[in-house]
Amino acid sequence: MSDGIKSLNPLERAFQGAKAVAAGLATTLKHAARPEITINYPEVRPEIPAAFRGLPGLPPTREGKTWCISCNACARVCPPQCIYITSHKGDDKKLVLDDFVVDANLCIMCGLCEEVCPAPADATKTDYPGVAIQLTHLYEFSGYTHEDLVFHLPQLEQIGAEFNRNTSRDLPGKPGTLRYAEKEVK
Amino acid sequence: MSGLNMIEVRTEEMVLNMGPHHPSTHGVLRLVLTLDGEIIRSCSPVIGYLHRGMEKLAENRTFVQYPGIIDRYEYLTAMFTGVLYSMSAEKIAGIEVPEKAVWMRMIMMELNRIASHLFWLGTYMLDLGANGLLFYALREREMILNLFEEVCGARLLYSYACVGGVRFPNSPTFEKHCREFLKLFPDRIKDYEAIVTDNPVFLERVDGVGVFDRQACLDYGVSGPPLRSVGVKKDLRKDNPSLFYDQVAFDVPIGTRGDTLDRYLLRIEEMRQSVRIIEQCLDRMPAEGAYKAKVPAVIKVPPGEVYFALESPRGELGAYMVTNNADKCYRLKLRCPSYNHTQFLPVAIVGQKVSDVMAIFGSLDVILPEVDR
Amino acid sequence: MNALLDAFFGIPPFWLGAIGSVLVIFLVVLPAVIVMVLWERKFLGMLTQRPGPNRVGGRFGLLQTVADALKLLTKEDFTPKDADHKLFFIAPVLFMAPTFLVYAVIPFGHFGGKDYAPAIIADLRTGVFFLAAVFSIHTVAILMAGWASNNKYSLMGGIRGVAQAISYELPLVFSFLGVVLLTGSMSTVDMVRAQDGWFYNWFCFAQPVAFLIYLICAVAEVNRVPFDIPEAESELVSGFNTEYSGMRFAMFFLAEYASLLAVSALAATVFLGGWNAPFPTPAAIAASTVGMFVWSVAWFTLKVAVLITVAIWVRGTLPRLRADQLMNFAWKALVPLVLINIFATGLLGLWGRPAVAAGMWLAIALFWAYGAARTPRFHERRRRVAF
Repeated sequence: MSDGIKSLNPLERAFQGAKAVAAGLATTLKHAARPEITINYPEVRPEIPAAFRGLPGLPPTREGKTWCISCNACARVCPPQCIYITSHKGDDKKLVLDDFVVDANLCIMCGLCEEVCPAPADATKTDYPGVAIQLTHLYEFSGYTHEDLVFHLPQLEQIGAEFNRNTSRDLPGKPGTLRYAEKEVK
Repeated sequence: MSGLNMIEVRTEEMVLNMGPHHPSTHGVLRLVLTLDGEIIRSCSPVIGYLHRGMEKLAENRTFVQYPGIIDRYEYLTAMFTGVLYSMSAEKIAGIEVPEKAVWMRMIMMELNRIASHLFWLGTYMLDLGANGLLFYALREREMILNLFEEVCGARLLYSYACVGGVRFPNSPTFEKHCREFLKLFPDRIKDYEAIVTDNPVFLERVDGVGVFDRQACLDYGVSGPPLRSVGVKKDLRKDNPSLFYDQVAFDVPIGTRGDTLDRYLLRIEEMRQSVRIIEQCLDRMPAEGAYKAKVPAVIKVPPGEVYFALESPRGELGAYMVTNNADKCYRLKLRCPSYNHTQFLPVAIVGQKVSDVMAIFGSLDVILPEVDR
Repeated sequence: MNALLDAFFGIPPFWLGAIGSVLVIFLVVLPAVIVMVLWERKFLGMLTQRPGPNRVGGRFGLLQTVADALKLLTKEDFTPKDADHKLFFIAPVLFMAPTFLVYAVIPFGHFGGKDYAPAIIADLRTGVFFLAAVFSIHTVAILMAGWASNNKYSLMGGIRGVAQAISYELPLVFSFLGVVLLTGSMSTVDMVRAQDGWFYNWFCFAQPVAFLIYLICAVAEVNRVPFDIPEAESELVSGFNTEYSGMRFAMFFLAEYASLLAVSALAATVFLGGWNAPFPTPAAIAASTVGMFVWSVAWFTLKVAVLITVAIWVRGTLPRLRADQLMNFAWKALVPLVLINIFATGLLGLWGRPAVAAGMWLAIALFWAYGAARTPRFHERRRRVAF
């Protein structure tokens, strides 16, 4: 097969080298004329597609309670085992949810909890239909200690309401520019 | 000339430690090099800094839980690892995956191949000193990650494949965006080539550098682009086609001289071929179809064992799974290409100059999570 | 200028030079370096479709370098154990000093008047010779820094840096010799005066090969990509300045950018016409001293800015040369080329400057024709992959 540039004489190599360097420089300079593609977070937020998997939340019904029936299916299926559910048996032999804990330090946001959850969130009784535990569009959570990132039931209900994937178009901050190929200015 | 005292000049070999913290070792790899001036006399890689017990973890997580974890095994090619695990279990259990899911798996895998090669290109150029190219490569990779985000909701760790099919249906705009990307990508490859491929500075550093010995490659189990660069026609997509690779037309580039330039050219060409494959998959994928076979909620796989391998961007990615009629596998052994390449590294660089180490090591495309599991 | 300012201040020339040099450094070079660092990051961002610094000091990040300098000032200043303390201390100073010495012979503009009094600190009659001497000093500083750090990586960086510096000094100085032959004087002011009038008088058109060689060697002397082996080789962490922190590192950093400014200013002076506009000065401006000063300094600054931008542009594109390839290139390609250039200039100069220019461009045209004619052969032999 071909031997490459080493088989050319020095003059040819100098010429091809100079030409290639010039082509490279021209390509780089072409890019200087293009608009910048950086999204200036946090003033501008990226546009999140509907399927985005963020932290799980427990969106509430209109009475303010969650749909969760304490079946423990999500706790069993969670790969890092970050869900802890405590409940007690109520008077009518049904389980009453005491506390629902998601350890955001461990959560890998895989969505298995959402897949196995059997409790259907009835669309007539809530603004957030779906299942009891749903992956929301929350991707900004931080804390100073590990305990700050262990979310309990009230926080999960708030997350489920605020960042629910059906209503998350109202997130704070200016909407970002669409980054897909169709909108990119060449 | 007799009568003159010849002073014996004694030179010592210097031990240089390219430690785990290093901008160019692509992860936490420690290379203990013994140098004689600029020539390397010996090299011992020290690995294990990123060991996370993935194989042991597989024995304690069910077939439903583990695909979310195996992404982390090789995070630049998470689609491949997910499909690898799922297909191993499916082969033992005899689960048939619906057609649409297979096409989607293929499309995602090839997109992931392009993304991985782009990442390799950007970081390799960074090692060699051309800082601008990193951002161009990552810009295209961002487009691919956006495509993934549309479908799976995640950009790096997808947990997309599951036993029985794929977990997420297509978004309605996926095909449109994917075709747009495929249309503009070949021009972008031309851009990269304009900056790099004929550049005399680049060619000086990679042409004729790090020629691999063909027999040594075969002895050490090198696979993927490094093996193809020495002229061995071995690609699992052609030799042992899984999914629908035998139904799409594509070429596998082979190198001629076995040096670093060949490996670079191979990977660029593989990106183009992946574009071809994805276009054909998009054309042939049925519009309607199930995404997942009907599998029970708790998947119990009958006793059996299988070795299943895929052609990942780095080489032959394999899993040897032994099952025991439980909902978890009994033993999962992961065969990773980077492990063999790291073992091959001393053979590749002994006798070369220190300044070439980065060029050669970069062209092997080793990533440490794979090596350490 | 001395006569002029004598009339105004009555200060003896020696002190004028001393004060003037300090003022130039503090009022011109330091702000220029601050702007340069920011412009480099901004322009590199533009080349890669990124914003560059855009948070500190408003949308354009104007105070970014100031913030960087403050950060470096407040860092812990330590000396590594077992390092050679004296050398470790002296190295940054020795690296900085020659850089500022170069500014002594660069004319920034002129004050008009009948004899075109130049705005220069010291109009030495042996300006170019002085430059050649000064350029060699920072080589010692690199070696000092590498040795004194007690660190194998630094030592390797220092040794490579020295090898690179001495390899590229020779073509650097020799590229000036063509211009010296054409003007008959080693003074930089004479060189600028010889480029008066229209832009085709500029020496970059009479000596294109020397200009290109000078640019390459200048980038190499300043340790910038593609020649930054001593510094940012990915295996050497940071080369000879690995162990320096805080203000000491700031001095290396500052001196590198000040060097880049200095060699760009030299290129603008010797090859691009210095303070001259591409067209003859309009009479209205030529009449007033202030107008002339502003005009000439503005054109000079523009040329220096363009050259710096070109250096940044090259940095964003080309990969790094390996140490031995770098030296091969210097000794086997640049030195013969620059010697041929001097010979040709001397020969053709017998018939005057236009003959030199014509000869040079003819040679380039022939080279281009030869290369273009042999391109099909290159395309045949180019490496491709098999299938």
